[in-house]
Amino acid sequence: MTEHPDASDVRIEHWIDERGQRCPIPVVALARARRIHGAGIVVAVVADDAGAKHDIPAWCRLKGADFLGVRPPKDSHGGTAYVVRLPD
Amino acid sequence: MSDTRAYLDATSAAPMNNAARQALSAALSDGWADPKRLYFEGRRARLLVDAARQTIADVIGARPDHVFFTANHRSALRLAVTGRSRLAASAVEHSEILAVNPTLVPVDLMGQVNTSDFIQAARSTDLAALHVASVETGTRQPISEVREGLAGAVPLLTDANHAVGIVDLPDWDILVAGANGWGGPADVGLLAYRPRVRFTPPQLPEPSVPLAVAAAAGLLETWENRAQIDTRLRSLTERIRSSLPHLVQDIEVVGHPDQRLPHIVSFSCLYVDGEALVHELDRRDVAVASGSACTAEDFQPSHVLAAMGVLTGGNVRVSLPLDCSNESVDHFLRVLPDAVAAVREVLE
Repeated sequence: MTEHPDASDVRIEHWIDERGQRCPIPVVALARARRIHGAGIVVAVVADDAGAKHDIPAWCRLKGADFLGVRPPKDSHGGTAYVVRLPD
Repeated sequence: MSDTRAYLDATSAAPMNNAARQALSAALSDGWADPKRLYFEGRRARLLVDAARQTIADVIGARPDHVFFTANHRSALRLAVTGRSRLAASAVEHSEILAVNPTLVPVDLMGQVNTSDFIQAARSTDLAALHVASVETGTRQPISEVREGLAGAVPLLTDANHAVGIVDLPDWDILVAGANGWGGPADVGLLAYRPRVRFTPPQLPEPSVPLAVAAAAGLLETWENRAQIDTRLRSLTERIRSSLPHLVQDIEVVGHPDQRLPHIVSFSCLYVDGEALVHELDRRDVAVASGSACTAEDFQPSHVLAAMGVLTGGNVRVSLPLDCSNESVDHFLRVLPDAVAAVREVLE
């Protein structure tokens, strides 16, 4: 699997912290974000679960969302931020 | 097999078939002696293990002196890669192959390598590993096309676990398998070489004669019935594959729909904890495995699913025993929707 693109320059509209949560919770949080916010909104899900690296891009593919890449979280508490443009 | 439970994890372990079981029983009476000894009992054991080796060699199309019994599939793989310094391998090969740090050839969403990419990677190595099929997803690799393109430039290591005896094998240079996959006993592995391949005969302890005899008998039974086995199991897994999207929402059935082994299906469910789902199915008398991170000892998702880029969460791996009944599959499909509902996270 190729490395995820760097999304450090992408403007994030909502940050969702799911660190300490194990699969499937980070993906559930992303699906909830889709219900709450509109299509085209850019969110970052911060997760430290081993599955998130694979499952957030997979959710994007299954739901027609754009997976924009990864970047470090805003703080220094670890984990990775997965940046997604929400679908319809 | 219990008629109240559906056991659908043959790639982890499965009972021996009848031929293996009967052969084991007979060989326990006649094959217990040390085949290295010169006296009658030893010679009898020697005859039995040599006959077992010959039977297996005939099925796979090898010379018996190039066929070796190992402790299991994993150690056969380890022996096959030992001493090979430059290796290429598909990204979905067994962890024993990945452990020697080969050049990895990526796979697509279906889990297959690109033929040209694999050939190109293989050319700069001493040995290239490409399995017949993934035992996690059932997806087959384009071995024949790769062989044709390589034209003998590099030997191929063909992991044929859960394929030997079940499907016609493509031509191979080094072959590896585990006997349990063909209905033989656990704790017997197979390693075979073609004469054209440079290899050092592995230093191996003598196999258990009764287990080797059982492995040979089990292979013969499966091999002779492979057409019926394939037809029956393929229609069962086809039914599973086509039913799943109707039974469960937000599901990804992974792997190639046609280029696959007859008895394996893997699927992943969104918003589902894989470990919880396996438990929930067990409570409903269904035994399955999972490639999800939460079910793994190292809490990493299956490297096969990860390499494919498919959903790894909520994964279920179904592998039908060779004598799997319609009723077992019926039962699984009947209880699956409730099992998923019981563990699925609610979105609102």
